[in-house]
Amino acid sequence: MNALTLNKSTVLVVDDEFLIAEGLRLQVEDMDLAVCGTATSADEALALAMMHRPELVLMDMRLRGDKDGVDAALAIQAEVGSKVIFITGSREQSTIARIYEDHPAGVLFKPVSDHQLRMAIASALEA
Amino acid sequence: MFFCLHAGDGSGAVDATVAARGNVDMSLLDWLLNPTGLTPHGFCLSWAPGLVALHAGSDVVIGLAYLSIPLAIAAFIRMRPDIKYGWVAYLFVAFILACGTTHLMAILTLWVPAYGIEGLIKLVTAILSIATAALLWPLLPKIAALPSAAELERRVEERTAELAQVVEEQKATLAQRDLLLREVYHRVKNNLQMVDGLLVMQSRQMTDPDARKALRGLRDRIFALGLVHQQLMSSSDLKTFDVAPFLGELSSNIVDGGAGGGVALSVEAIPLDVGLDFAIPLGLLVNELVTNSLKHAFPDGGGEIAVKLSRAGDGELLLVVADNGKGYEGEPSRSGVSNVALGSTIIKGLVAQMQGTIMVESKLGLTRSEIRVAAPLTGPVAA
Repeated sequence: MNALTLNKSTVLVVDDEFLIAEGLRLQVEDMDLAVCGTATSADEALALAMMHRPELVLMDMRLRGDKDGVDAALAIQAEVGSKVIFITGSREQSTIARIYEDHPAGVLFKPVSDHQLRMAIASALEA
Repeated sequence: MFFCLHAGDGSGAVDATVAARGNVDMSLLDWLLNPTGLTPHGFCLSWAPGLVALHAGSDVVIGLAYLSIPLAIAAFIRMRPDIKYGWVAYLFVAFILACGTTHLMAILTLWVPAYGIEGLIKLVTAILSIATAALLWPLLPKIAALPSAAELERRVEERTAELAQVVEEQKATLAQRDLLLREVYHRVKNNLQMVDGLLVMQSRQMTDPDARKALRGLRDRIFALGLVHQQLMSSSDLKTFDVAPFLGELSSNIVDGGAGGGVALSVEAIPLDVGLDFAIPLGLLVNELVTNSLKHAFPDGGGEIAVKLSRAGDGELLLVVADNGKGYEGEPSRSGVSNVALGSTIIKGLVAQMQGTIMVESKLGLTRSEIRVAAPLTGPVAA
């Protein structure tokens, strides 16, 4: 993690629920990473990603507006190339299948434990 | 259909009949059964061999046919008891049989002038025939109203289509129910994540390490609740799931998240389908017990924690959480810590909720909690 602390990796948090986004933001900061912003829709997420070029995106599946997390992740990966960890409330096969179309850096299911988040972020950044 | 020749066709026979009727001494029985003075029918045919053979042969064939046809009708009616107005068929059976008999009698009267008996048989035939004829007309509209095979086929198709639609509707209702349940679980999980967010935010405001630990403990309990809903959501019936992988995931999350890596965990559980009502208290119990071991058993960092769910001899379930740590004999201060007090309150309360019992032993090198509860009704019968 030394390399990361010298040059803090930036993380974008995307979730349409403020309390969830804020909780994730604080947890990420506690891991000594920088959060470049929180977005509630796919378009906002893409705009923030293009502005800050985060290394990692924590992506909710259900977002405000018509586009979902996979739409946002595909756009961000195409434009910026960020790694994406999906954080979804759904454990349905259809949702998971759609997520895996996107070759995610990780998939977490809500509610996410501190440990799960820490491990997923560490392995995504190391990869 | 009726082919009857009368003795009166010949002049000799007429004379004989008149002679017989003229005899006033003759009783009714004699009149009917005594052919004395009558001439056989063959006489009217002048015993012409061709005519006699023609009549006799035809009557044999008709008579046999009229015996065979009603037998076939009767057999058919017996084979198909569902046929409506079957009694009409028996009337047909009766009058055709009677009619056949008249033809056989006609053969006899070629040579024997048994016209009385022949007449009686004709009378019976007449009564049966006219009864059938009379009953047939009023029956006609009813029989005509019976649905045809094509009509029945159409009705069956109609019903089948209706049933298929009902099945489709029920499938849709079930799918809707599944969708709603998934949505509910999704919302529960989302809300738990929001509560977790609130706790993280609150924790940031705390400077007291004990307070932060307490909030951390709450987050673990919320994760246990969320994990139950995750299992439910990915189960096929959305109601029950196998408790074994759940306990594994729950325990390893606590141990991996709370220890520096020196604590080894073993989880052993029988496969058992459980529902929400059973899984939540069980999951929270495992959470409390494993967390206790993790926090208090290994001040030096290393050790082993074992979680085991098995079936006792009497069919009850046995949950054992054990560690090989320092034990808590001679450690009076522990129960005084508010966090520990909360943990033991939760454990006692949940064991009582599950109508189970708990036994705890603790000494240096072994702390063991054994909980016995009745198996949930949703579980499969143990082999």
